[in-house]
Amino acid sequence: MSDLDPKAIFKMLADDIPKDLRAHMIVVGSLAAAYHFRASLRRKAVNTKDADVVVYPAGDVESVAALAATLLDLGWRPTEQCRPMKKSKPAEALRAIRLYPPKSTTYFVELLGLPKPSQREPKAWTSVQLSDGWYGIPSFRYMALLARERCSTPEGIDHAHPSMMALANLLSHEEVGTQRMSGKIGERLILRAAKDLGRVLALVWLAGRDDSATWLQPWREGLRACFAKQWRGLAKRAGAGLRDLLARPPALEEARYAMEVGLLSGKGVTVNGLAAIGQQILRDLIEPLGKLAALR
Amino acid sequence: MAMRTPVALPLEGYKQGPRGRHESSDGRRILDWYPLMQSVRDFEGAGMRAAKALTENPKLAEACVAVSLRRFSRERARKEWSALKAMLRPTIADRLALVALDETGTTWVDPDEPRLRKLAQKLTPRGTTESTPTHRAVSRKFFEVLKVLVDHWLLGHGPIAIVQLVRESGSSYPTVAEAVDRLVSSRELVRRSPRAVELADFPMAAWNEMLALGDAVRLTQSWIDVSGHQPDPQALLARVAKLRPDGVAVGGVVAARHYDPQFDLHGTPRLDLCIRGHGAHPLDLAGDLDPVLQLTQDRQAPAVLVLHLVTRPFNAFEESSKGLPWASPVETLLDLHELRLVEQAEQLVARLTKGRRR
Repeated sequence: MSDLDPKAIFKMLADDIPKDLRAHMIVVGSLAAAYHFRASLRRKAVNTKDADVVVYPAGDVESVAALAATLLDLGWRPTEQCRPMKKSKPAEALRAIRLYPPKSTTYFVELLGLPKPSQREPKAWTSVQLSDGWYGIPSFRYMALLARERCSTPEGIDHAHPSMMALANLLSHEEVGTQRMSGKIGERLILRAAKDLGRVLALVWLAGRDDSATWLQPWREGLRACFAKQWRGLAKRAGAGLRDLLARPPALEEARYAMEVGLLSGKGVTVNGLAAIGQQILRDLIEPLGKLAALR
Repeated sequence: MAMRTPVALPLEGYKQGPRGRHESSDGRRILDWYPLMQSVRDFEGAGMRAAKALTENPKLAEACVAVSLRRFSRERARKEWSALKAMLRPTIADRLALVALDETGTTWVDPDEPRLRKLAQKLTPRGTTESTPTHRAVSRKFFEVLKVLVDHWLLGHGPIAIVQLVRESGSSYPTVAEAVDRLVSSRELVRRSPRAVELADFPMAAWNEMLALGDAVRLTQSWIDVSGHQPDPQALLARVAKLRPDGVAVGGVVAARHYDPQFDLHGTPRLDLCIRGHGAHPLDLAGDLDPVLQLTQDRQAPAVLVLHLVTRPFNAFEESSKGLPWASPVETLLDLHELRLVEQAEQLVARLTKGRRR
């Protein structure tokens, strides 16, 4: 991981990716959050290595393949872990497409797919064939939300709105569980849920209460639009993982650590402070969302 | 604190602590024994002292007030005790205990537990005024009377009738009469007629006494923002205005600007709110305002919200047609002193009384 200037990365992406392909991508994750809140970041940078890029429309494998092929033609290079496979199945065994920009290894782009409305599993893989073999495109169920409310930079790169990233992360974990990240954040192997739910806390912290309190309606509309038949149930369960995190001080400490290394670096936010922000989210967003979902 | 002091007594399971206080051997319980409790005012003062100890030490499981009642009934004591507990946060009220013995030897304990009943049996009424070292009390009620007088003086209302003083302060006639006598004898109060009085000037001596008692007079509670954000009292004020909680008025610097548009201070260091005894509960109010607020006992902590309980039944608030009521000038002045904005407080007094002081 390294400190990346989000504004510079977005500029580079705009320079290196043709305009017609840019129209099919949304930058998500910590880079998108860092860009959105760039004025508030202590070091004006975010500690990350990857730029997660969701390609849409949903299930558009051709666009992913075209984007990857174009980037490779422009001199982008696969990362060490990004290797082709000879067979297209099983798709979950394929390697994700991760590409370094032509003249640097300071960051890489990882291509993700926008999930189809029919996707029920939390994470699904789609195989895509490039000139040297088969690769996998992961798509996360709740990333469907990230296509909504998205923002655009002056260079014409879309990025996900913090509100939708927060909701997607909340829905992704109904409990803290035991799964840990595959790679270290800072010096620690962090619980996956602690990192993702910690991101929710960080996004709300950075947005401030007055701003984050306005996320309720976009959340409701996003859920209804993306999950027409399941939205009420999802809305009612949206706070389960956060409540679990708040009830587990060691996991909350991991969340704090992950955010101290990342978006909240230098802010001096304590576990106590994160817990208080969690209560704020429950009060301002989760509980009203549950009530809205209960209305017929 | 100038109130009837507790008396040390050998009690099994307790050791003698400072100022007549008994402490249990594990340090989790304290007990104050008053062998000659003669007035409701002193009784209330004893309860307040115990509540203050609980506030200052969250680890205390119990603060017990043990009293031998004289000249007022057990029923009256029961009523006053209930009223006192109702004013306190549940976390404090639930840890208060009372052992009361009246002149007939009948005992009453709260909560009704065998341990407290046993304790009551050990406490035989014994002390007398001759044998018990005490000094004259100044109770919270005295300061309620004082606050009414100061408000009337600041607002230029002229002499106030004793009966009105009784009504506005929520005190009994004897309490008001005693307060009046005390202030007249210190020449801070002037009798304008047999039934009306008026402050001669700002009552500095009594005022300083009230300031010295600090939180105990107003049951002040301070809250800090634990989120890591820069505390934002103005944002809190906007939320209070939106919530419009029952029985809550704005004090402090915000109210000072209302009373004096030329009030000389940049920014708002914290939000001071006054809450009537029967209004919104402080804990509920703080929680509703923002879950990132945390109650603190640390007087040095940078509080963003400070709540003061007001027991005066009338005229502690000035209604506003535009929004939240304002805390009265005297409450606002007390807030400024708490904030150590002494110069600004003096300027506020000067502006409010302009042309009326010699």
